[in-house]
Amino acid sequence: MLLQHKVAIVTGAARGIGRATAIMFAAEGASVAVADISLKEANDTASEVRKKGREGMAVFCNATDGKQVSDLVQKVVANFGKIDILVNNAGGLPSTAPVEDMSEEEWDSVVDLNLKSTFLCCKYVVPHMKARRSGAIINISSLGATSPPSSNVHYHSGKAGVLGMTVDLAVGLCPFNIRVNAIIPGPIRTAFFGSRLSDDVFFAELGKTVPLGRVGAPEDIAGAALFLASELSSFITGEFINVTGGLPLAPPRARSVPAK
Amino acid sequence: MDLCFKGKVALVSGAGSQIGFGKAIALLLAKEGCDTVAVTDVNLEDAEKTADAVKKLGGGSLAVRADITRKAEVDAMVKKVLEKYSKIDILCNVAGAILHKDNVPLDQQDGEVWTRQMDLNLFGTMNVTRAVLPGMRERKYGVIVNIGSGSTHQYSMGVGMYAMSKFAIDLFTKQLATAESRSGIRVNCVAPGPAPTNFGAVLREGLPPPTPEQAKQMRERMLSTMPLGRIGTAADIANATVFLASDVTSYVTGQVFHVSGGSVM
Repeated sequence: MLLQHKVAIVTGAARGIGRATAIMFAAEGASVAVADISLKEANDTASEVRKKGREGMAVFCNATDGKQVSDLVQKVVANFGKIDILVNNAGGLPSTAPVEDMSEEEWDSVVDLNLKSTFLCCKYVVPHMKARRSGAIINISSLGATSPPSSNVHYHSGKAGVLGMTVDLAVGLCPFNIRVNAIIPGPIRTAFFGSRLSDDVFFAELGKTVPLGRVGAPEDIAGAALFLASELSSFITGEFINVTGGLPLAPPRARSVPAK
Repeated sequence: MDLCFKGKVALVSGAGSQIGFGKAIALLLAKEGCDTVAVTDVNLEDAEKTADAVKKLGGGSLAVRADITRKAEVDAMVKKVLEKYSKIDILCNVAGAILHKDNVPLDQQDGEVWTRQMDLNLFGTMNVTRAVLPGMRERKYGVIVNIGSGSTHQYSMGVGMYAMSKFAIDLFTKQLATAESRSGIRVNCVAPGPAPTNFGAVLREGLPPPTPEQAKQMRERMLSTMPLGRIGTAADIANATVFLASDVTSYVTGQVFHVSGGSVM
């Protein structure tokens, strides 16, 4: 058991990577607060957590709203007494447009969803970690932050901001024995792909573009999060872990963009 | 958590040193259920000590001597392991050393040492990997973990061939990962920050032993550069290496993992 007696908050844990992470953490002994804007599905994840014999609590939380995040953290501390692990997984790409057509509102909403949400969760969780001089924060970024396959300027800027925040907080929180790391997922079969989620042919084709020959599963990211949450990584902070199936084939500056 | 090491055969090079990363990795692999851990080193007696420790944990083990800079010795070493265990699933390229002191001005450096440093850390690692690779390809399964170094990202120690050889290991990791990505073979690298191995002895060679006061100052100076407030341990490196050697990371390849206590970000 790598997370015996630990308490974790996983945001965006109703589905996909967050759900797989919550369940894997529970299997390794952690109690998990499952935060999401979809309470029905969050309840389902929490019940999977409880099936592993751990305490699971679903909490409705829009992570872009400071009041809701503050309430989430208070609830978790009231219920579990502490927070050892924070996984900032909430995020997404609900809509996109070329930069010249993107409205300020669209930019703000997507940057808030991916970047401000991470800031707010850290803001409210860190004091509890500082008080106990112990903690692990895992931020979920995106391969698009370092090597975008196409332009989604709001999402990729937000996810790149998450990497900047990771290093900043890692530096600032070292004296408190709080480690902050990021995971950079490559293509993972989740609701991120919207209506194509059930399209096996699409994922088989997409998998062919990945050096390891497949699209990743939520459990691939959960495994990396588990390592970063556990004492196995007690000497690792400020790191980005690429779980990308070997993408990109070359560093960003060496990319060759095919002519249209 | 089950790291899926049941039935696996690992080879750890440079696992003879009784205070080094190789031994810690070999023992952790065995502890996590890896059936067999072959232990190689340039010093057979040391390799045997580690092999005995693996056996005490209930794992199978075989100690083989080879100087990794000599292709014939490497080929014979790998052949010996394959003859006994018929396959190698996991290769941990730990063998390597630092052959020079830090902060020697370039114009006072010995070109012979440059050659020997590359020979050992880069070409030696390539020799072992080259010998193990065909079997992994044939079986469409293989995990390779190279040991790099945090020194590739720190320029305060002057012009050093050691760090250059380890930077070459980073690139070797990425090139090989890409080249073999469709062969079922993953290749990653763990880059340790400062840790208590026999490297310190090389750096201090020929110098009078420090007084207790000097030793205390050296320790404090070192700790002041470590954001997490401590230097690394062989266990830190073994944890990351064994994680990357496991199928938990089956979607991770071509990566360099810094285990540096925040000293490399």
